[in-house]
Amino acid sequence: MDSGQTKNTNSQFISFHDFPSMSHASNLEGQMNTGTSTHQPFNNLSNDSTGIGMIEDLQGINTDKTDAAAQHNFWKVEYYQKFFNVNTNDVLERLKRSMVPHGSDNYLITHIRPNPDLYGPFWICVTLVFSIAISGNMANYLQTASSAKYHWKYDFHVVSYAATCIFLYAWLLPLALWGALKWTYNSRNTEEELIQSYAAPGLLELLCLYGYSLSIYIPVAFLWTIQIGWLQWSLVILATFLSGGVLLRSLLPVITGKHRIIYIAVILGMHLLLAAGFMLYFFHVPSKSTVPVMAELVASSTQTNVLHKAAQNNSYVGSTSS
Amino acid sequence: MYDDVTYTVDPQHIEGEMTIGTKQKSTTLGEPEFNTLDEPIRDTILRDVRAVGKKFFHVLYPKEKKSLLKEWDLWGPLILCTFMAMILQGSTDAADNSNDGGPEFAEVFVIVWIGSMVVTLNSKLLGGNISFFQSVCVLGYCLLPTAIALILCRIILIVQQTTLLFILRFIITMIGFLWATYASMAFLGDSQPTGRKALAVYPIFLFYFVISWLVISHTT
Repeated sequence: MDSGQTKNTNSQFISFHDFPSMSHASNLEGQMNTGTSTHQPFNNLSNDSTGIGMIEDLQGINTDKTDAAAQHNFWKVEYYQKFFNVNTNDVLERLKRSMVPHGSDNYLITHIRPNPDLYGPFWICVTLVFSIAISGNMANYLQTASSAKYHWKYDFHVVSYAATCIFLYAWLLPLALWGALKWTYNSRNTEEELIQSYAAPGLLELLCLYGYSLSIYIPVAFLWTIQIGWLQWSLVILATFLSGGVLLRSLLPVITGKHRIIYIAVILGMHLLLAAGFMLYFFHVPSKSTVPVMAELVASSTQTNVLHKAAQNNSYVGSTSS
Repeated sequence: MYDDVTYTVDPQHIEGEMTIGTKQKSTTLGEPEFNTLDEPIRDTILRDVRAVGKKFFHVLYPKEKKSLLKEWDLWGPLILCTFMAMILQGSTDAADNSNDGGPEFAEVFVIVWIGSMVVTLNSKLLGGNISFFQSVCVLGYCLLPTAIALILCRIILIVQQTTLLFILRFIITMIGFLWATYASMAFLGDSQPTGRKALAVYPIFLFYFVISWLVISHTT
């Protein structure tokens, strides 16, 4: 439907089509402009299609109309369709690129920025929640299967813990990063900004980037069910540095400045903390299977879990406040 | 609209108006010629029950593609969802160690209804041409194979559990899951533009997968 409309506008107004790409480098608002401008009915303007000042006129009309259209459409499904404007091949390509750091091209600039979507992030988060819940239960079963005494029961409520953790990470961290980048961007002088071709990423782009960066944990979650300590830890390290590497490579041109080292530490550290937290909380319960009688070990393991949760909470607070 | 106009034009033929109105209404909806005003209430209820039963049959035997999309109702989804939530709910009594870790009644309800709504919203956002409640209706009716799998698993769970019986339960649940996914794709698969079919099918797959996980994990 969208493509049909853009085709119409293209055939009638080839000169106008360049306008959305002018605001291309800007962030979320720019993206909203390009999205809604394809829905604009330009047919009524075709009478006076001569003159050089047409673009300026159209710009003025367009900005007015965009605001009206955005407010008008806000409660309709069509307003949100631009966030889901992807094909199967796009999503597959983005998934592939988010897992393995590729040669020289910047993942954010070449893949996300032209068309950031919310389909991938949302369904990756949902899939991750349920794959962690399912494989966490499988891991728990494998731990207790050897001892016949312990009657194993599955725990549905892992879903709620995993969902809280993942959705908080995938929404709050990009939000905090976006705010921090915006804050430090103002303090920078404008000449440097002009020389640099990289603009600060918009919120939507960061959400998309972070959502896709979680996709590597889905296969890793199923591999975590194998109850070998060093394998679990090496999977944590591997997953963190593969997808964290893509994250850093994409964001490194943007975060130049004196806070650079802090940004790098926060981005990688949060990623590592998330992976280690998943592994320790959902997959790694050594005390229950080996010694079911000893209450001390159980108590200590729950204590470590609590400590890990507290550490995660602290870092959430820290990241939002920074 | 036309009623008002004819009333003002010809106010003394009110009875004639009413019959014309109902006739026009029935012809536009494509329903058979019957009058719901003076029929026994038993017929009315039985007709609805029969419509629900016919939809259940179409889910189990998904040959006609458009059969479930003609008229939507939410009776079937409500019945199935309530039934599954009742069976699946676990007791959270920690006192006598009977905490089986299962979901609450409301949690199953929320997963089924919010899940099917989110899946429907996803296909709407991707540009699918299907109405909201039609899709919710189809997704709800297609829970029937998983509900049947749940009944069979429940019967198997009565006897002492062995590994062989677990494998049997696993196979039954897998068949229910594949059947549900296949049936819902037969009804909803055509509503998506090409190139996005996989993006719309994946959430449906995930929806039934999660419910099947609940079914296989349900123990006494």
